[in-house]
Amino acid sequence: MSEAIDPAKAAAALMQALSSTFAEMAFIDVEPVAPGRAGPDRFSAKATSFVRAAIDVLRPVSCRIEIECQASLKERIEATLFQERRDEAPGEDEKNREDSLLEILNVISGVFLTAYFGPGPDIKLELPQYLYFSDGSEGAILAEAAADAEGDPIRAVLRSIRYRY
Amino acid sequence: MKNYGRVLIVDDSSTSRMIIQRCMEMAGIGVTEYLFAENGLDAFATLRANSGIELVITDINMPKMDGRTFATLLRGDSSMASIAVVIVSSIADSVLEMELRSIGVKSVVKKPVSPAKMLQAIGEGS
Repeated sequence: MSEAIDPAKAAAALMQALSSTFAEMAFIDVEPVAPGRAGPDRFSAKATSFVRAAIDVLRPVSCRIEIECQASLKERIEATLFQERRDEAPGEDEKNREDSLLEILNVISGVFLTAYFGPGPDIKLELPQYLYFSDGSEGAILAEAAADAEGDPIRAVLRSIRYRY
Repeated sequence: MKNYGRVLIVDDSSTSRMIIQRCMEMAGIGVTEYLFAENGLDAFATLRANSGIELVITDINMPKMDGRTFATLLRGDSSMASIAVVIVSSIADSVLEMELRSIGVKSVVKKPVSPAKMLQAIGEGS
């Protein structure tokens, strides 16, 4: 279904989703930067603290939405969200840190799909997950939005899904 | 605005459960106690083990039993007819919203949730 995606419209919708979700959920300002300024080294597999999470969209089109950032941003998100709860549940930090970015990706995906397709279409999402390695078989990049999250680089990528049978 | 006794928040994300509770508190919605479950199956177990739950707030996209199935089964159980059900979801699906409202779901809230959204959702029909 990649031919159905308008790259410019998708990139704008990704940026809108990144910006509004980070502002509303994590109280972090996200500003767009030119794709070249945000990478590629800062998002390469060589970066030791590189984090990559993805959610597959099954309807209305088959695609994958990814976010890529450094672990420092993931830790900042968790610290912001759970600041008041740390005294109540000490030891939950790592679990919450893992969950926070996935929930933000889940919301980004919903905001993106609404911004791109409008409200109303039958939408089906898989559960978000971390990607720990690249086997080189990812689908093609259909659109991307590179941004600065108050000093930390972040990138949202829309990919086609390459199914294996 | 009605005060609620026990409120059950159902979401596989600990972040989302925390944010929903925080928004409820910031909105000034009176709740005696919050209970939590990670999916529809866990939620049914919690409902059977605890009396006095007056409101269930549930996500849609969850493992084991999703929110759509959970809400449908819950609304089909006459012994739990008095429990209000509010859906929170990251997707804006008007067809699903109409379907859920037709079975008796009180309201549907689009994530990210906020105190204002929760106040509007919980306040509807109160």
